[in-house]
Amino acid sequence: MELIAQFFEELYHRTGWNFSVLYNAWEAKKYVNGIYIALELALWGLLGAMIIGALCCFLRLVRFAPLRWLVTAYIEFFRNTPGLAQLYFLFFGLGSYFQLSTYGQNGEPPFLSPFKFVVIGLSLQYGAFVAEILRAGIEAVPKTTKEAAEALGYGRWAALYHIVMPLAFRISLPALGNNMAQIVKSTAMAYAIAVPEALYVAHEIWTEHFNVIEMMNVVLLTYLGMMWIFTLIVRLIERWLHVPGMGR
Amino acid sequence: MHQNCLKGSYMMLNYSKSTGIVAIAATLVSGLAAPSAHAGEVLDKIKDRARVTVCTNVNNPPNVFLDSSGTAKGMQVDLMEDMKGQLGKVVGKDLAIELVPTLPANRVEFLDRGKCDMIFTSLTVTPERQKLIQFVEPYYYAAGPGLQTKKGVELKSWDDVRGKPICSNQGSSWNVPLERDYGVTIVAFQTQQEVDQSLRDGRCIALVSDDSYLQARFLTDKDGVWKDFEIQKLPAFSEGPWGLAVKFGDADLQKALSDITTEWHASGKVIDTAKKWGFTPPKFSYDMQDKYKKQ
Repeated sequence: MELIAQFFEELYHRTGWNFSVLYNAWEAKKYVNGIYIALELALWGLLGAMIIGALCCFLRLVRFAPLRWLVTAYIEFFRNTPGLAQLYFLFFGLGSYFQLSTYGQNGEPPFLSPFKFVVIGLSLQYGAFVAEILRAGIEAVPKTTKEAAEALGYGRWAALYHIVMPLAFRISLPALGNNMAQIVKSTAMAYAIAVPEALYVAHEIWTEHFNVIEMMNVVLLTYLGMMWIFTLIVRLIERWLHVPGMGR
Repeated sequence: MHQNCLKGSYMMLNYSKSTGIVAIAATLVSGLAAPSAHAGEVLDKIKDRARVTVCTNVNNPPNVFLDSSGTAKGMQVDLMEDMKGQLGKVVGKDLAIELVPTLPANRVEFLDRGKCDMIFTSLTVTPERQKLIQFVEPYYYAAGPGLQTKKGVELKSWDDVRGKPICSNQGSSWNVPLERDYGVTIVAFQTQQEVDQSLRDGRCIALVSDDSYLQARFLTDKDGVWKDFEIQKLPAFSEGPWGLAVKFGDADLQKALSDITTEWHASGKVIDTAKKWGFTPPKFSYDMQDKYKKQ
């Protein structure tokens, strides 16, 4: 570590390339914490999106029509508006109006921190996508399979639970993986509402040193690294859930 | 003083060796590939176009702001107008002025890419910035950090805000010292409006900004927007001078601007303009006036 720090400090003095985050201990600590927060946002966002998505997918199969319309309206709204605009709407719109992130009289922490706003924003936005992906997965299960289940005496929900959903989930996996990647990348918009994730910290560092080009590279490599890990995990899950002969 | 391009490069040949070395060194320091760079490239451009372009924050009342008709006004605009006149005399042409709206996060990039000839805004001089842009000395103004809170909050020293959330602008030079030296949790947004809204919403106990900016905000508050708020009277833990900044490698422009700021201090122009717009000039301004009056 010491050697790396020395190398980059030397590099700055010799060439002017200022990777300050790699030799300034205070900045390094802040940046690592930023990466940690980004990962945390991604994980919570992912969880939220999966839960909301699955719930919406389920509600769309319910026979009560107004409920289906409501879910469709939600999905269309969140799929067709920019994520950043949604986040601003939640934070400065609803958040300000209902005083959701106001500190109490004696400094009690607010009901929702900016961090939680981002998790909610990511969950709502990507939950809409997950719902669509799962629906597509269910529709891709061959009709003959469903008929076979029916012939074997499965009821509507039993067939869904035992036959259709397991297949639909596997069919959806690549698309879900893609969606997951989107969530990881979208954590970067948290910097707009002052959540100190990687991009926010990088921004803070480059306003201090004006090493925009260097920090931009560091930021991109950081996200690339995070994506690499997530892609590996998705691939592992795909292999783990693999059904021999399916999809060939 | 000024030469046109052709004559300029010819003159370069006749420069003394030391001047040449300085010019080369300046080009190296700037790290830019500028094969035809000579001492007055930007000043030449200003003359050719009869226009000086200035990177500034146009949403920074009452330093620079746009009135209802879209005209730029403010203390810094008054100074810019004066500078335009004096610079016009240097190049022997009447100049127009064009403001390029910038944010703290992009103004240095804009200057580097030649989108403007200079940065003229509330730009605090820091060692890091000095490596990237050429500040014009003497600096023209100064400001310290100021805290604005809701009425009734009592803060006696900077230690009282340790561990507390304070709203700020992304790119403000007070963020890092407050965070590092006073353990403050900085909650930084992209625009001042978002910072203000966040203080109103109670997302932070105070907002930090330049004291001169906060002062004037309260002085010009005709509509009572800030009637429930007040400025905490804390001693400035440092006073940051504000400088005009140009690209490295244009000694002519730098000299011309340096003469102008010197004249501003000597004649009391800065202090008068500051007072006109409701500022209490910083100690720095009076120190500078003393310094340049004597000479």
